[in-house]
Amino acid sequence: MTLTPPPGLLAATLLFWGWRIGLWPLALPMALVLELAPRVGWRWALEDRELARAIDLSTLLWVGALILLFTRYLNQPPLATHLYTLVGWLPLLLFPPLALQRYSTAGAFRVGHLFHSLRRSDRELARQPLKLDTPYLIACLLAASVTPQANYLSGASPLLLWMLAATRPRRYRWPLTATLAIAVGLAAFPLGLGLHRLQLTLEDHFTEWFEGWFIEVDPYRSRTALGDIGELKQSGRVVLRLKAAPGDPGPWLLRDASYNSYFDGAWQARNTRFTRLDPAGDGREWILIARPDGPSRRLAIALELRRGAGMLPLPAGAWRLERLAVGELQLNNLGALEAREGPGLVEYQVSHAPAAERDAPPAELDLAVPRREQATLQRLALELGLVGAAPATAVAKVRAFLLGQFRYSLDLSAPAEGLTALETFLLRTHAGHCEYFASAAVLLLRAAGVPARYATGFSVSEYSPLEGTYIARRRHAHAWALVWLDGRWQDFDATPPDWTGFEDAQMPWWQGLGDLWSWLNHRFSRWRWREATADDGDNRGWWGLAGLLAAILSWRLLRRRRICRPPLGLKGSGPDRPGATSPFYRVMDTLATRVGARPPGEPLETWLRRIGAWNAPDLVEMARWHQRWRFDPAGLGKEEQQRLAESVAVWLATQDASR
Amino acid sequence: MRPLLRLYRGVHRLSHGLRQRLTPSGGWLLGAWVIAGAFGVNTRVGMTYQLFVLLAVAFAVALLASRFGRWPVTARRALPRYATVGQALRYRLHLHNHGATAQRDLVVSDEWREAPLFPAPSARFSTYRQWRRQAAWARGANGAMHPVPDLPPDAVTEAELTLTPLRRGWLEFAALRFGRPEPLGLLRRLFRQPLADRLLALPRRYPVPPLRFHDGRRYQRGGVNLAQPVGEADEFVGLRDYRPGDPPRRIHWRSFAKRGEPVVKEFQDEFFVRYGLLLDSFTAGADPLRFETAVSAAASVATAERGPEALLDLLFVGERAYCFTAGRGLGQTAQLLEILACVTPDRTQPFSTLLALLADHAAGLSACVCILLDWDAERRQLLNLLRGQGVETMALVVGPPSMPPEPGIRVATADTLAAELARLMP
Repeated sequence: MTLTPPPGLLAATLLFWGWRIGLWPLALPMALVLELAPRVGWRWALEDRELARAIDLSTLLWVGALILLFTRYLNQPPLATHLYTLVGWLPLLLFPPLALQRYSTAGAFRVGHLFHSLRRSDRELARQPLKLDTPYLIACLLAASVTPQANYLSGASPLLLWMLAATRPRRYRWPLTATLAIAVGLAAFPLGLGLHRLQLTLEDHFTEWFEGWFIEVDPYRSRTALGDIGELKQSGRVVLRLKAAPGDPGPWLLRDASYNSYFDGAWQARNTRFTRLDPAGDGREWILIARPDGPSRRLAIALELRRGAGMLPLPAGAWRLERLAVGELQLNNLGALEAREGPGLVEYQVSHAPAAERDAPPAELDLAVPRREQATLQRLALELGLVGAAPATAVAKVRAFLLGQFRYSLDLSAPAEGLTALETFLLRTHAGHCEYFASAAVLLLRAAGVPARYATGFSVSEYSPLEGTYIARRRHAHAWALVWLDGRWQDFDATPPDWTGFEDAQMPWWQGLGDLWSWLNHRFSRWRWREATADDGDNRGWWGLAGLLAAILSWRLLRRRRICRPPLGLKGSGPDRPGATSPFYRVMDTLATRVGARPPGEPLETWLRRIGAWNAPDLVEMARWHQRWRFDPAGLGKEEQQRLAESVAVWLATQDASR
Repeated sequence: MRPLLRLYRGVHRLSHGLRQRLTPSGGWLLGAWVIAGAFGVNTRVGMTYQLFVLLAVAFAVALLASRFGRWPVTARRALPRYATVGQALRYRLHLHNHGATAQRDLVVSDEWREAPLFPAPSARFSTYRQWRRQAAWARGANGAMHPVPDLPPDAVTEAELTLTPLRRGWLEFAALRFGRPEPLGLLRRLFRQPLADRLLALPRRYPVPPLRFHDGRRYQRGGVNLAQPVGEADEFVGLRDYRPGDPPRRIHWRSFAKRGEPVVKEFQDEFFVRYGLLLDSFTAGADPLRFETAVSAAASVATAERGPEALLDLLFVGERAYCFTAGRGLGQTAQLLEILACVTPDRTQPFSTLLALLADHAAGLSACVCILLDWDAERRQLLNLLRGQGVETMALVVGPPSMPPEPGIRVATADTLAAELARLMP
């Protein structure tokens, strides 16, 4: 556990990491700090407790990094990307304890420092020294590998081989280790390439199988909860924020998709095609349709995009988007807008005017009634007097029918025997959630000969005093009808208006805390995606906080005045100790090769007696001179030193001759 | 439970094998290899798979390289007679390198023969950690890897090894395991030399103040054979006329020759200071750790200073009732400790066996220290029996008793035993 890499290797590995990750301006000073440690004469006199605190500080860094990456993951999955980022940061996260290890008088941590449970333990494991050099080196190699740039092996192999050669067992000569190490490096190149090729081949064969795993939000199909059993529960997570111009009272129906075909509880968008839009102006302005006549209103919408892609909710009559930094925007003929290659958070401004129409005019599909519910719907249309009525009258009658005789409910019940879920709603239960009301309205109107479509999106009416904006939670997701009236598509919400009350009754008691967390998360996302949201200046606080913490840490370290200049080695054990140049060491080396090295802790005389060398008077005399030179405060005179050297030379010559 | 045990055993074997086969740098790099494997699954995301391949090749080459070379070293242990539980024991290993090249960077560890029948301190185990502790306990000691000094060619070298016994009783050595690194320094090749040895681990002991009881000597009916005549022992007091029935060996032949009539030597009856040390071994339902604590307590009392005149009887019931006497040349304290090192709790005999044993010996005892495993009606009867014979009695109950003991009876657990023993004598 106390391996130490040779000088220079750690710095080289750190620079390699910096070069690969693109952080070499950071890696250079870090490498200098680590490599200069043996050359500076001062050390921090840190106690055991303080070393443990240093590990705690490093743990805090880890926790901070994990929270940061988790928050980023919430904004922009997948998780793997952020795990790679974490691995890439390893050298940064491990640097403080390593630097402290190198600049402290202790020179090493203990295993007990790593775990709270071992800190007060007297187990042998807790007392074992732990030097972070080797794990840090490996962490640098690992961190350098997370970027997809080529030429990783050409850097990593020499570094690993350097390490192996430097820490090789003493029984082997370096040419053998070097040959094997080079063979390892050379073999790794083709094998790595082969592994990569193997994956590509496997992917070619199993692509179809993989694709089935990643079906996501679908602008072509919307499955409803019609016919499901149980209770409909949705989360209170804030998914959208809206700011309106003064005088715009709301509430707003923001549509993210509309569908024209119903079958068995699912709405589908058939005969649709997406058209790619081109940005205008500064690249963040998107014109959906030509500017309509009449005044326009503006709404500012902030929305999180999973993996930088998703449907953008828009109010009716939206014709222009501004400040939307996405790579690609597509509009379909049912008015759904899909963004791609965007950041994790988008904040865009929508201009909308009642006269603007981005949806295609009615087609045959917008009048289609599903065959299974056809009889019921037509009978109801007759009963309600919808058939033959003017579209506006039909809409009013449907509204009166649904609002008068039906109630909002989140309890889902099974369809009655012989009836579909929609028929059960219309004929038996007279209770359901927005999907029932919207589907019933659309299909009843179609039965009356009025073109209608099914729209999904958000109903925004809740104002958050905490954030100062209107917010839409996930449970505010809504469905309503689009009806062709007066030559344009108009929103027709047939759900009883008290539905938000029902939804809000689901709010748990901790919702306030959740909202606070959501807001903090949003603030962080804005900082994270500040370039995309064009909201700079927010990060000053973070940098300020980091600076303040660094200042406090420096002050704490300096105030203790514990920087000391201890002798780098104990007196008497360094290279300048008395008797360090004694020629008797050569005698000891010769004896050691014959009978084994003197065990540490065994006195010289005991050793010589044990190996039977104490019988030779010349050796005894030399040993005594040597001991005097080493330990006598008066030392050994020049003349005696000379005699010792001569005796040693004679003894060595005798040994050579006898061999 | 059995699949879980098998899993534990497998995990232990794997981790133990890795610890023995991997050098420190090999251990770090194996960890890196596993992480690189996890992150390198998708070869299109980063270059981690290349690190994975590089390390895999390094380990493969290391494995191959470790296969070469023969093993020229033999060894033998120089073991002391005893060790003590919980105390590090250093012993020497004589290593002979028969080869023509020096052997360096070697490590060595002892391999133990497990004692499966030995009662474990904890009968139940659920977690891996508990199981591992129990397995180490059954082995008797932990077999850590020790570095070996350089072995010059064709020479004998000594190495010092350390072990700390974890349980009392015989520790059975099965073999020596040597590890030799390969040229890359990642793996060690293991060489096993079967070498059976055994070492007796004596029970853990704590300091106990000298045994000083108020009551003095007691008449020893029939004498104590072979006891050294110290104090008022089997002493010669005078001569008297022969009476029918006197043993012929007591005839004083010189006086017989002078007087023409048989004269016999007369001896004084024997009065000895004789202490009893009673170890309760009836552990019905009790935690085995409690019995181990009791044995430690008994061993501590057995080694306490008790004066040159006193005899000490160790009384306990194993497979049958035993009474061992030490002192006055009869037996050494070390022998008592040997007996205590091997004593096993009784699970077959009734408690009355101990009462019967005590009834036989109580008359000759001056005082008795009773190490009890519980406090109940039977134990109370035992103490009353002693007190009824006028024996000064001191009782120590190990572990939480079933009912509150009488005043004056001490209670100790494994944690408080040392403190209780330190103030055993009032």
